[in-house]
Amino acid sequence: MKLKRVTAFCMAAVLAGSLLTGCSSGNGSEASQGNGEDGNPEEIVFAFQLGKTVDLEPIEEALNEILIPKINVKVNLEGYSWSNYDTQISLMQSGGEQIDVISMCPNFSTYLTNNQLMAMDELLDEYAPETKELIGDEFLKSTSKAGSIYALPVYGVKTDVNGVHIRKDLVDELNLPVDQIKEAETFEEYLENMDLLTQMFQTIHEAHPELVLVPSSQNPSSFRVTEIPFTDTLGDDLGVLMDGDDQNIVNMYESEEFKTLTEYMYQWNQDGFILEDAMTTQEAADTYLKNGRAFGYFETGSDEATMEAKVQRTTGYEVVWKKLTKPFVTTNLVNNSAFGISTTSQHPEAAMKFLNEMYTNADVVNILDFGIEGVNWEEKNDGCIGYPDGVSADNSTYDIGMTWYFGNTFLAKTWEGDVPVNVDEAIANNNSARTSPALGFTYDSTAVSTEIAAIGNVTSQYLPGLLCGFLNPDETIPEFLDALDSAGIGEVIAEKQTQYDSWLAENK
Amino acid sequence: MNQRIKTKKRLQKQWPFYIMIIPGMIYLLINNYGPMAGIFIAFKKIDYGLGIFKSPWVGLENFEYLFKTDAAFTMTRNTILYNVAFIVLGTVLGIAVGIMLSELRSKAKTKFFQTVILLPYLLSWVICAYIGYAFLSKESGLLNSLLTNLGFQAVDWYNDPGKWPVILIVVNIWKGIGYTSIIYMSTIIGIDKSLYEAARVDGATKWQEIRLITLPLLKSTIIMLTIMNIGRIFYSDFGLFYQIPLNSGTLYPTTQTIDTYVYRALMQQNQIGMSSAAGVYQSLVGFILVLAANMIVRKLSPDDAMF
Repeated sequence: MKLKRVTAFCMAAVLAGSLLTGCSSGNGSEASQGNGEDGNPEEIVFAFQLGKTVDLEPIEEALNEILIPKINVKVNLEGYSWSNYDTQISLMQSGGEQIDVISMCPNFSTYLTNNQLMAMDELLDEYAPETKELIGDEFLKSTSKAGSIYALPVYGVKTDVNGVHIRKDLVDELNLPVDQIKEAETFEEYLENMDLLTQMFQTIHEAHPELVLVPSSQNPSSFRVTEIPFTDTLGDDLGVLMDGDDQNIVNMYESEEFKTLTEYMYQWNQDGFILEDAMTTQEAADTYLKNGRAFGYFETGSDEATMEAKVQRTTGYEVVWKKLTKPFVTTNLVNNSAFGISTTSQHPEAAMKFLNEMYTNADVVNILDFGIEGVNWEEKNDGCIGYPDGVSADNSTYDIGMTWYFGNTFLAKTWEGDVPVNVDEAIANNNSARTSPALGFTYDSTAVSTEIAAIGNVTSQYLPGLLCGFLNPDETIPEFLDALDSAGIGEVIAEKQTQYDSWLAENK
Repeated sequence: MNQRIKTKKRLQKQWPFYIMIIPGMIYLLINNYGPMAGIFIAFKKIDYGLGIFKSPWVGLENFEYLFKTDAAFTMTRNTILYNVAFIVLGTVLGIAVGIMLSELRSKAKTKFFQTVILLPYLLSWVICAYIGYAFLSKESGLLNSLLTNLGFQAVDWYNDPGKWPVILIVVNIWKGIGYTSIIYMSTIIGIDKSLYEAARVDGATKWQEIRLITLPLLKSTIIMLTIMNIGRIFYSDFGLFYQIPLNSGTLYPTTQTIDTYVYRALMQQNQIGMSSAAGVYQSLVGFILVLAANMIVRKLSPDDAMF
């Protein structure tokens, strides 16, 4: 009897304990104290992705030295690894933990669909008019829905295009006609580039059969060159606007263009230009270049000198980087990286004030980008910055390498050896670039999430093989299309079309 | 009255053991029973603005994607067949190795072999995937260089679904056998030595000792472990089925299981309702199977049933 009572007591204690921890979430964390009115700074939490483990406390202190006197906001930084970032944010929001400013890279539309973001129009007008004007209505449309703005896109170069890296020693040795590669304006011109690449790869393969082309991305493995130029993938590739049609959303995988590009890949693979382990490799492309296995790979970028300098620094090889197309600005490219305010935030005004600083205050941007002056970096000659004495890449306590990430990237200082960005030119390029007819259209996939889940398995089964040229498109594409049909791509496209039509009606 | 005094005496003697149970019980409660309250998430469309409790109910909508395409058949078949193979082969080989280990005379030898066999169990799947890759890579794999040196054609392992049932079973047994064999060995060591002595006096061979003493006494352990494994027949080891084939799309016909399907389906969407739906589905089927298996055991040999 006594035993029973003892166990019952233990169980009750445990249950009570778990209930208590469950409830405590309602109170919010300690950071939420201080409301700004009595002079104490308002505390906000800013969550973002981090590729490495760093001590954020000194960075926080440095930021708050600027922020507290200026806008009376104290920021707490929370960095989470890329791989579990989105899950972490969902957990924080559903668990009642404080979170105010969320960085989204690249899943803005998922956050919007799940109602994780607050509409910010009034806040933006009241607390951040400079930022609103800076980014401009055109780009803000990409982070809007039904007339309300839900996030601020990162302000920076929006003219990234796909390009090819080829080792410079090979270009010189074999006299490769790299200068004939042009920035294609049509699909036909793009195919001329592909033909030219095929010839050059053939020449390299004959002279150096041990060198191969390596994939530029994993999951799914792809060489990027199969992305159809001037096609707006409308967020997820399932239902796209092809070049020349601004009305009808179609299945990209059915198109002649997709088939043609996968045929090139199949040919390249048959000819032995492609790494045999391309589909399963977990190594980054530049690792292969560094190890002398690759003659080149594809990578997106916007400036030749910057790209070539970057590759030389990481691999030790001099390369030539050539753009394959003209830029094409889509919603996806603009909102690929953006900052929003959590629906659970108790301090939206403070959050907006902080965001405004991140877009207009160069000191804030540079602390987030590079760390603390004198500790992590110092001014060098020609307006560049570099490591202080005794600090290097191996022992720097910050050095996160994310200058493209925080707020207004044009405010970032230039690191030694990097090519300084010509801001005026970059902005002019942004403004003159060709834009998608669907720029500003974002799509809510909630109604078809069942279909999208099923399609996810179909694409990860067939796409890597097609994009890396291991599967014969003549045989595989029909099979792939059947599988997509039975997974319900028709419904997804129809849903997208309906949303697009009503967006068109509103915006025309 | 007498009964009560007995209980009291027993408690006085054994209370330290009951205290030792407490941490385990607490762990079980927090880890296994607490989260069960979250089952309702499977029937909701989570809206973070409203919070979990106020999000709208959607009935069985979250379950639909599991049965949407013919992938449903492939993944269910793969999950069950692989688990059956693992249960049968794992048990047979686990017992065999367990018996061999327990027959080793020298303690040092037992410890040595035990450690060696257990080592793979302690490796993470990612490391195992790289070991697998070292064997199977088309570019530089050990197996392919062996094959080509012997004059055979190199095999593109990661593009050939037909070979994967064997590869996955071998990998899983290699990794798990150390653990199962130790469970069986500990039971064998607990068997009364005098039984074997008596058998030897009567002139029994080693094989007869194993067949007539060891195996019958292992029966209840085998049955218990098997029933527990049957409960997890709808689950698959994500690491084994995702990492070891390096997520190669062409291998899906033989490597897709329920867990990998769910992962691939929801990787982009962040829909916790749909992922809990998969969990609920797996545990419900597992629960029914455990009850069924136990019922059968109770019919056949009541002493060995778990409950």
